[in-house]
Amino acid sequence: MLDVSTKGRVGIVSLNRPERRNAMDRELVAALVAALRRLDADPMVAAIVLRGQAPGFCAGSDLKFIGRLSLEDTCRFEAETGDMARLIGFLRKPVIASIEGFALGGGFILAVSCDLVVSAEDARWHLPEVPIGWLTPWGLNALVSRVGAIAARKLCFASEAFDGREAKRLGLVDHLAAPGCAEELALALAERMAALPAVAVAATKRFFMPDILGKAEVLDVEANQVFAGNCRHPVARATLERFGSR
Amino acid sequence: MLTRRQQGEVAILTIDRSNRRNALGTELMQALSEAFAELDYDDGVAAVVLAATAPGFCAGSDLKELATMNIAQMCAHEAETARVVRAIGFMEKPVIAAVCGFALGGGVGLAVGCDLIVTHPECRWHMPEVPNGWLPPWALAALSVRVGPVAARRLVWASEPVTGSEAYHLKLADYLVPQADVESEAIALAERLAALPRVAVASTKRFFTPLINGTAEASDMLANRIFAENCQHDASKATLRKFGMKV
Repeated sequence: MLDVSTKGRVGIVSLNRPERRNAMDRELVAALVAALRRLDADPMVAAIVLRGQAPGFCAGSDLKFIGRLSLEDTCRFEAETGDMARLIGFLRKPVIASIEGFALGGGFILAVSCDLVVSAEDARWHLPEVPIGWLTPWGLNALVSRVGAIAARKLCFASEAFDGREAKRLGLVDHLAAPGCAEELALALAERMAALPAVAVAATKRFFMPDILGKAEVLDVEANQVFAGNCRHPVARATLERFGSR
Repeated sequence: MLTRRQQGEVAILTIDRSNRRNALGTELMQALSEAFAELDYDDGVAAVVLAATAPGFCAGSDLKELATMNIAQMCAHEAETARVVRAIGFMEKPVIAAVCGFALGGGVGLAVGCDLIVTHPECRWHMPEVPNGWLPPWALAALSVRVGPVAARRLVWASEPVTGSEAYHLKLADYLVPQADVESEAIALAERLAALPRVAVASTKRFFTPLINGTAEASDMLANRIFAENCQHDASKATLRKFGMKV
């Protein structure tokens, strides 16, 4: 489900649900929260890499899991997922996302919630929520912080997938890697961060935190309510029913 | 610990830990968190009153419990308390604090986390954190939204208690009534809100949430971090040792 290891002073968190394309259910989200908190408190760890086991980074919320929940519980689960993603920004240590294969929906948003993002050139980035009937229910502030509100809205509307190169151009990604080499680059970057004075790295993250995350919680709550409303409409209902929703 | 009763469409939550002066221990925060979530989904509830048994509304952190923690555990506990209180602002339904006797430290934080506050002239409002040696670890954004940042800073610095009358003049509290009437007035207010069209009441709360809860989470996270640093200093450590903590 979730593997946690360390390499030198770098903590490595790997989403490991390949059979569900590393999609998130409640158990995985809770495991992520626990792992992130533990690594942040571990004095031997100075930077964290978040990655996914092949075939990709993360396919977002597990619709099969959500399909078994009531609408109320779905909204609660999405809120918990949003809490987890914001937590990344509130940790003391830098978290580096390593994207190989794909970052879809909530996986896309999880990636841009990290402090630094490394992507393979050919990784597939896509926000498919609006086409399947709803506004992305969390993390949009992270998207806005990276690309601005206009571009963020366009990304939510647009519905087309793009590759890592385009994601870099848009500002979603900080560093591009050759196909298959994202992890190597993310680790090198993490090691470089870990070699810097930890106090100054933490102070830098803290200084920018109010600007980057200032309105994140409020926007997550608002998006969650909008999402709940969207889920009552026919397109969303059809999507959820395809996955077995009541 | 926490009792619930219902009067028409108004739910009344009463903190009942008089032996610990209604302090915000882990168990109480969990009970409050569950109760708020439940009430928000309960179609039979249109407004909520948060009251407490004598001797007073809430004395803030439970020092006896904190004494069993180390600084990191204490910071995690305060962050969770902050989260539960912020969630009040995200509920659809209005929550009214009935503040009698005293609101101290985190008790002030709990009160200002509610949408409306009823108190009485002699009520004691006090934030003792700075004299103890640290910045209050949460609720400062909520306090600032109520009284403005300059008055909020003064309240946090000043270290002198203010009366309910002064709290009312500072807009820290919304209604001032005789002590014996605080709870009944809070319930009457809740009934008035409950009689209004629910959609309009919820829409109003939702519209103002970004303005009121705006940057509260980031502010709480920052305060928690500063609090943790403050706790490393000698003055704070002396206070924590007085509380029974091993630092």
